[in-house]
Amino acid sequence: MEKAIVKTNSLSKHYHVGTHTIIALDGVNFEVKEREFVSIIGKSGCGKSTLLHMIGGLDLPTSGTVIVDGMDLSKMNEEQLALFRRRKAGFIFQQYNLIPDLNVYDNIAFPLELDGAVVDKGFIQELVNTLHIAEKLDMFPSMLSGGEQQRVAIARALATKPAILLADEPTGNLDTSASHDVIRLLKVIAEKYQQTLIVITHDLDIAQMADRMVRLQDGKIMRGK
Amino acid sequence: MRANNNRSVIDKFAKNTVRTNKRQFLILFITILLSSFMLFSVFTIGLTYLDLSRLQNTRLYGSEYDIAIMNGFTEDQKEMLIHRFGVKNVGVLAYCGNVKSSDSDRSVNAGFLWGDETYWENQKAPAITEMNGHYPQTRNELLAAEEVLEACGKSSLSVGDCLSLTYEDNTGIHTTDFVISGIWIGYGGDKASFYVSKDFYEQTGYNLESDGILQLKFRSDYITGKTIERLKESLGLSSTQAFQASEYIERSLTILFAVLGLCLMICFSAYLLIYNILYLSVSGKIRYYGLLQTLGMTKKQLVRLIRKQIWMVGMAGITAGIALGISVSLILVPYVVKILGISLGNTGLYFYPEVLAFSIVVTMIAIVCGVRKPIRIAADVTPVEAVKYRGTIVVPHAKKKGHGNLYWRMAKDQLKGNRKKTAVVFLSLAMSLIVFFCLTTLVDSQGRRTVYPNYWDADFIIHNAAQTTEDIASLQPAINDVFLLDIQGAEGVAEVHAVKGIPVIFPYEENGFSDFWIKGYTEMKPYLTYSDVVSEYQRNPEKYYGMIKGIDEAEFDYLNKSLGSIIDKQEFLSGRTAILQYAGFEIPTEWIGNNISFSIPTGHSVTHAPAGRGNSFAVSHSIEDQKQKITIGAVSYGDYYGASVNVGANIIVSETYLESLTPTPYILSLNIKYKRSYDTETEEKIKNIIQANPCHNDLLFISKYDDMKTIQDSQSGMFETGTVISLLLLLVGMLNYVNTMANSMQNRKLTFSIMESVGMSKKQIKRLLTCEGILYAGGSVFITLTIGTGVTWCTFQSMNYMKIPFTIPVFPLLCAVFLVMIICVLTPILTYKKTVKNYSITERLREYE
Repeated sequence: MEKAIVKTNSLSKHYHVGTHTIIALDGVNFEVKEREFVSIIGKSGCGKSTLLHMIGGLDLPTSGTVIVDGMDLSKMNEEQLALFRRRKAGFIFQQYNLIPDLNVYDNIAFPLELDGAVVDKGFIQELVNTLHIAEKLDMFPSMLSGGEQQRVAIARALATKPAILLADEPTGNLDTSASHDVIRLLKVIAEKYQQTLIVITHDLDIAQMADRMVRLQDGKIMRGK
Repeated sequence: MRANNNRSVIDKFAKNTVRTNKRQFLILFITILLSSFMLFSVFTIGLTYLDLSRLQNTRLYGSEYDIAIMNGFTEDQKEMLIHRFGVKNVGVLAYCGNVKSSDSDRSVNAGFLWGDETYWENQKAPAITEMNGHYPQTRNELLAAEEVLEACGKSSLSVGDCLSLTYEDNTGIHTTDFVISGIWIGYGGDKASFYVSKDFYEQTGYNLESDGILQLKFRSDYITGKTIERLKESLGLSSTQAFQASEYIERSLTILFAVLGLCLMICFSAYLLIYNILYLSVSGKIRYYGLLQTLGMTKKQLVRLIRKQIWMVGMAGITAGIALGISVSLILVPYVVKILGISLGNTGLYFYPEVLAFSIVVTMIAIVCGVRKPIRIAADVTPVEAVKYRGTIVVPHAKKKGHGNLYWRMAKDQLKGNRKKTAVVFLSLAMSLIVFFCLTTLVDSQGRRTVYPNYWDADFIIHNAAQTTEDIASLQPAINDVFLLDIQGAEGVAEVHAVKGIPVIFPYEENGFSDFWIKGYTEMKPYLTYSDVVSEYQRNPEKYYGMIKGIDEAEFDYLNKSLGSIIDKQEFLSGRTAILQYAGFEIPTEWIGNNISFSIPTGHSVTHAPAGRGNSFAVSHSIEDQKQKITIGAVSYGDYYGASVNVGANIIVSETYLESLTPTPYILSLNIKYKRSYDTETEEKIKNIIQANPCHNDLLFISKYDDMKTIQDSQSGMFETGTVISLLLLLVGMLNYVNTMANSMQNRKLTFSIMESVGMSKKQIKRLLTCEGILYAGGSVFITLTIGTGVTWCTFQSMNYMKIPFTIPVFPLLCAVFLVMIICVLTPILTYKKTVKNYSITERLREYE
């Protein structure tokens, strides 16, 4: 039996907009085991991204805990969270979120350089070969197509060999064929590097490619497969 | 299809958007406010500074004039100048005698001057700060400055009091009782003279054709060299007349161009400030403008909307900027200056309507020109492109992966990425630093005008002024060894050099040195005839006595250097060569290398009376008549080495040689150097020692500190005014940078959020921003130190009519560079903190989804 790499206990997140309070997550209890591929589905605004952001250390919960790889993120300070994001989690955004004034290589190597680590050029080469972007290393993000940008984002997320890969609608801006390619690629890579993969998607076909599917509704988990 | 007239709708929309998005337009508003404020304040204070600069010249020269025609003038020349186009006024000034003694002081050194009404009412008036009484009307009336009364030992006199003076004019030597008609306080070398009435002048034997001075003031403060040249030619000057233009007016046009150059730089600075923010402001709203286009707004309507928005903010900014400028320049600055106890003299800061109009026009032009490019970008972007727009990111060409330190590399990439923005930031920062550099150099050079060049750059000079012109026995040991020891022992005194001397007689030799001397002397005294003086000289040569003065080796080195090192040191020290000193007529060069004879008078007695202390000593001895010969090695026209009033020549020899002639010569002067120049405590101690000397009335002193204070007083707030402008410009340059950075941080908010999302900590972002700040500061400092030094040198030289050596004001410049460094580094960090606030990465990323 694999141990849980992600565990949330009564996780809640509230946003305040003016005098209104929006409950994004409402006491979520959720677990993901090591090397598991989990997809999260649900309607817009149901709290999918918020949950992923909590797991990725991009945001802090209003209440409850998020434990990833034995670390309680809710108790970490900003510096510790930055280290966590850099070393433990690889985030892939729907909008790719590449750094516009760095070229492809520098975008991929960026988290490693932040750590002051010696960049494993062989590993980066392996990644870009796998992702078919080896020819694009000197290009800037604005010179690439959406699919290429997404592959660069994946390479960046994988560069630090994180324990957990978090993808927020990674195929949202891609066509069906490219979407399936990206997910297949993520699955292959996650298996290859023994990583846990959590993917948010609207696409049921893609969601069904996961080991487990979780549905969120109004900030609560409805069911898991 | 006919177009609808929807201008009013767009105008209303523009008004509403500005009203409801005040925060978004705040930076633009502040920028325009700062620009108009900078223009108004800098030009207001700048004009005041120029006025003060001219006032300082007036005070230094003693009256306000541009051209002086000396050694006499004709009535025709005067009339021609009065009626010449561009001439404001023509005054007449004339020397008409010198005071030899008063009933309180037997050795007075003062002159008589007469000035006509134009001179007194128009040209002299700006240099006068206080006047009691009136200009002399009758023959026995005198107008005095406090200084000349003090020189006569009559400082207690006031208007209406009587004063008996012995004076010499072209008709002879007379003693007359005068009435003080007025006492004035002010500036100028004429404080050592009495002003007399026209009646008095007319009976002195002087005449305007040969001795008068015409002083001319132009209407304009800026005159071309050609105008001055044409004026000179039109006068048809005789060979004896001297035409002298003030150094200021000679260089006035160059000064004007330099000032205009500075104005241009300041205007360009304002333009950069506005352009930069307009560019960032409009490009930051591209998504919004794209949305409007999606909703059906035409390009034309969009352009009108943006123009309308910017004009509304612009007009509000200009109004607020001018109001702030008026408050700061005309209320706050004088108030602060007053609180700090700085005197602005008669010249305060004035309101110049032309500056107001100029500031508004320049700011408006800057807005019109600055808005064109951003509007084009906003109008040209398609709605689809606008939606994808994520701030002003200039796409560079494909680039190999970087090397070196991550932060420096990224910082360099950031600067290179948007070259235009970087150039504008560099330029505006460098521009304000360069203008600061320029102005502090100019202001600092004004400060250096406070140093009168004096002999040996001494801090304090004491002269023995007991001597009278014709009495060889008049010289008294007012400075004795005890006094010298007291001065040497005073705390803070570093060096004291004593010049010693004794009176000598040059025996009459036909066609010899004394004969040549008599000829020169009688040429200067029209009431004397050569034959009378020769026979008088033969009868009483001691009446025409001269002085032999001994200087030490260090003083010789200094003097010889000033003469071009033409004297052989050994020859001088051994007493074979001497230097002839005279401040009057020119010594023909054939006398150089010739021997001259002199003798020390028989039975001449030197008595050392107690001085400075009650229980001192008295020495008396007698020297036999000694005839000596010495070779003249060079002639020095300097008037240092004692306040000599003797008619005969002064010969400078080595101290050793002098002491071989007489073991106890008189001490004629002391040149004192302090450990720290301008040390007030040492100054005070020396003045106390002088006061304690029983012969203090016979001591004349020159203090570098007093001279500095006098000129500083005449500058009347110039330094402070110049500093205020420099600081204002630096402040505005800094605010421009702060503004630009604030906008840039806003545009880079997403990038920072992305960086944080992949693990960059806030500390690392701050490190990156520190590197960027250092690069901005370093770049602008580099431009300032290279191009800026060139610009400053050219500006300085074109305005340097006082021929002050160019010196970089290191301390203010270092302070400015340090300030720029601090601001450049802190601004991005603080604005980043302000931009991020307490929002989580998720919240910040969502703003762009």
